[in-house]
Amino acid sequence: MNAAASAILGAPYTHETIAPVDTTCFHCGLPVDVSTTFGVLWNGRHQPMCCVGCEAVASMIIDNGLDDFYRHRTGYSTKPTDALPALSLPRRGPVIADNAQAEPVVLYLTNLTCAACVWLAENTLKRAAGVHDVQVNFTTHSVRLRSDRAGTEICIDALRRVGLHAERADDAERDDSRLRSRRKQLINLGVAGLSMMQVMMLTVPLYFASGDDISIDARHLMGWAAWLMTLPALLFSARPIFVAAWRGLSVVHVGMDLPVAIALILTFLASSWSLLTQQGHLYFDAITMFVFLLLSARWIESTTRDRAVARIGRMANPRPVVVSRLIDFPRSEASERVESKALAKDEIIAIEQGAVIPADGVILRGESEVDEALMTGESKPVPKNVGDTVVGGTVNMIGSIVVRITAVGKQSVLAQLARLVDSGLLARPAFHGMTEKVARYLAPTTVLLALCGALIWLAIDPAKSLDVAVAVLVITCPCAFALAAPTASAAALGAMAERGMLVVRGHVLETLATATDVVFDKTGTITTGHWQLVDIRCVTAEPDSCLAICGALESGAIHPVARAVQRAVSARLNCDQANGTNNASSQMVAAALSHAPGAGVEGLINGEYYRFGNMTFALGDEQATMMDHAGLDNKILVFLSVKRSGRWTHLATLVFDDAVRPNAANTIAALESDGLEVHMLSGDRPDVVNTVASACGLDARRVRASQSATDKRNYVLALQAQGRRVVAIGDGMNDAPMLAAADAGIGLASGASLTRLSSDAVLDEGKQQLFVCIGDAFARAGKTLVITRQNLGWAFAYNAVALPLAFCALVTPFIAAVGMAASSLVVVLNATRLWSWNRSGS
Amino acid sequence: MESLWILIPLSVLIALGIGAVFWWAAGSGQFDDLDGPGQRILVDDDRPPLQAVVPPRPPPSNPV
Repeated sequence: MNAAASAILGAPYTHETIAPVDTTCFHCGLPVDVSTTFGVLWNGRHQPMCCVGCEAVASMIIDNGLDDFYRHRTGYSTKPTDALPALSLPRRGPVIADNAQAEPVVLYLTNLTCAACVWLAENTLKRAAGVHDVQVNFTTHSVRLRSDRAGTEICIDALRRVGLHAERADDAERDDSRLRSRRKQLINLGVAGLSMMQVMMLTVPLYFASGDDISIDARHLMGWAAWLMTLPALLFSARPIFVAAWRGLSVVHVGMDLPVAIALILTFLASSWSLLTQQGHLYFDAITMFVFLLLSARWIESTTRDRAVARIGRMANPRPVVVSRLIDFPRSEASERVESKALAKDEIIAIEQGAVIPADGVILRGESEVDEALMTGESKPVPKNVGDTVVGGTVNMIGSIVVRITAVGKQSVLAQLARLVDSGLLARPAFHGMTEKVARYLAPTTVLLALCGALIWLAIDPAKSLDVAVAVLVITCPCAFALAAPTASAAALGAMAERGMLVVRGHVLETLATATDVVFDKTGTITTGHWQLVDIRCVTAEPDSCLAICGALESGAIHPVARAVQRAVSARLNCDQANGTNNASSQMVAAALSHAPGAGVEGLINGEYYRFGNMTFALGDEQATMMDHAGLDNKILVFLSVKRSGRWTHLATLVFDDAVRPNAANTIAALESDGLEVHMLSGDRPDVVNTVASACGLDARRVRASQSATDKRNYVLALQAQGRRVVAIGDGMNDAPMLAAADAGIGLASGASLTRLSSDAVLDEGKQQLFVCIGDAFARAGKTLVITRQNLGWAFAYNAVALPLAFCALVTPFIAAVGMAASSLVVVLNATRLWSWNRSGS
Repeated sequence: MESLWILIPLSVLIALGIGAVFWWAAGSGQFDDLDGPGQRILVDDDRPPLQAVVPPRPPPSNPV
């Protein structure tokens, strides 16, 4: 994707109109060849398209009368890579119209670029049969509808036809309950706010009225009205606080809720007593304000986290794979399409090139290379022949193979990993944050202080003793304490999410700030996980034409090397376009392509046969002895040759490497200088691992190669047994158990979904370079701890000043209210500094 | 001061009424999506659909 298009895609909802330019694809905005034959007639003119996929999607949109989409969009759509198979899929049978079978379904739309896409989704779904109650949410990019299973599939299919990618949420009920709890939280917050404003209105006159300004009866009336308006805040809005406090008490786990609940109840009872006896002060305003401030801080915190969770939910999940089952394999090739979930042991399936292998099995026919990077961490595709085993979840890269299934469900490798993850999450040490430690002392201290005040004044002036006790309670009321942590973490989580780190579980901030060890996975985490063309060493030809030939040979292939060549070619094209040069050789097309699994590819370009593959394949017996291959250990070398007078002549050697991510070395150095020990565990071969380790400046004592998923987990557990606090970062399936065992596990958005689900936070590389984001997360977590400490310190300081006043019976409800509001405001403002904080700027 | 005896109970009643309306609105999902309605109103659904015409593909020829 070129820079201009990605800039547009990266900034949805910007209101700039898109003028159809004839050199870019009308649908996806990518540059098109001038001679393209793809396009649609729309709005009286021919709109060029870059590929058959865009054309199919655009004509589907326009044919269905949804072309308003193109009038209102503010960004180009993403290129529909999976639209073609969807278009060729057979339509399923008749749709049910039976309302009883319809169940709530949540779909996440994953490639929305602007508001018009949401409109398109809504109108597409409204036309789908058998679907009820379609609601598209612009904010969360999700669709809620009622349908049965077949109807849902048709919905996803219909969306795919108009170029939108929809994922069914794993668990519609969980999503439903999250929505319900959000609504409930909002109602609680709104009621508390209304309550606070009414009580304030009724009590402010009482602050300033002197003598006979207000008659006793009117005072009485306003007092009771304030009492009445306090009830909704206390009995309704604050109920979650009481419930949490009670739950904490019953499991002997004191949180911030307990001191809050005690302060609320005692203050309310004492103020009600004052109201009844017509003596002493009323603190109803303080109570309602307290409830409102607390609920709003928590609302903001949970909103930030919900947003992160929703974004993670929108990341691509593996959909149920449809596979061809061979019914009567050795005798006939007859096959039927079944869902991979329905497979059983000893059944025989055919797996096409590029497909995910759905279950563990043994190859019966065919040969291929399998990408096992997500499962084992091995960066190079593994050649597989008849009799070799393949693991479910890996990708078949080259040829089609026939596999007999050996394990499904609970016996499969994938399920074993999932079990390790579950046991890790259960065994994880309980986390006690700083605020919980403070809260443990806060509740008894508050009550004790109030009691002291009451006893002292019982000796001096018994009439004032209750008043002093309540004043002490209100002043020590842990408002600033209770706000200190949630405000700081909401600000930090929001800032992190903007920079690409989505935090799911709240303890991550404190764990990152107090961690002693960071464990990285290699393939896909420290390295990019895909091969990159790093060098072209030519024997006779020009690098540009060599690249163009390789590009033609590898176009459409999905092998890592092919992808690397395709990326290099498109980068070159963009470069050419930017410079205004047009390289004629970039338009080559290869014919008569034949792939040799594990060896390479051969093709006919401009009347000459070319081979691109490993040394024996490309050069035959004539080895490339004349080439200097020094310094290329552990890199992949692929050879390009041309057939001249019956012999394969060496043209060039292309050097590929699983490159280390940019900034990995400086970030690791920065972490180490902050006193963290950085480890690297990999399933890859030792020589590859050591090369990467030295490139990143890692200590060889903390690097392990050839690690299985269990090894990685045990390594983390061993560190924890030494009392270390471990943060683990990884992307593959084989990292999931390690992430689950660590004190904080961080997954990658591009990684395996099992890993994402078992992690406490997810890194989204789309926002900025991964390691910049990691460095920022650690630094910001440290800063969050500092700010939380400052907030707690401020709350202590405020109490230290105000408590003596309360003891001397100098505190009035007015002073208490102002003090509470001011101290809370200081805490909140201090926390907002985390939004704009930058490591360099501090 | 007598007016207070009417105004204060009245204000309490109105506040409770507002609270009830808010309860209903939030509970029925009026605040779930604060961006959608603003965008939806901009799109006109009433126009008749246009027909797209995929032009017949010209035979591949060498570009001049």
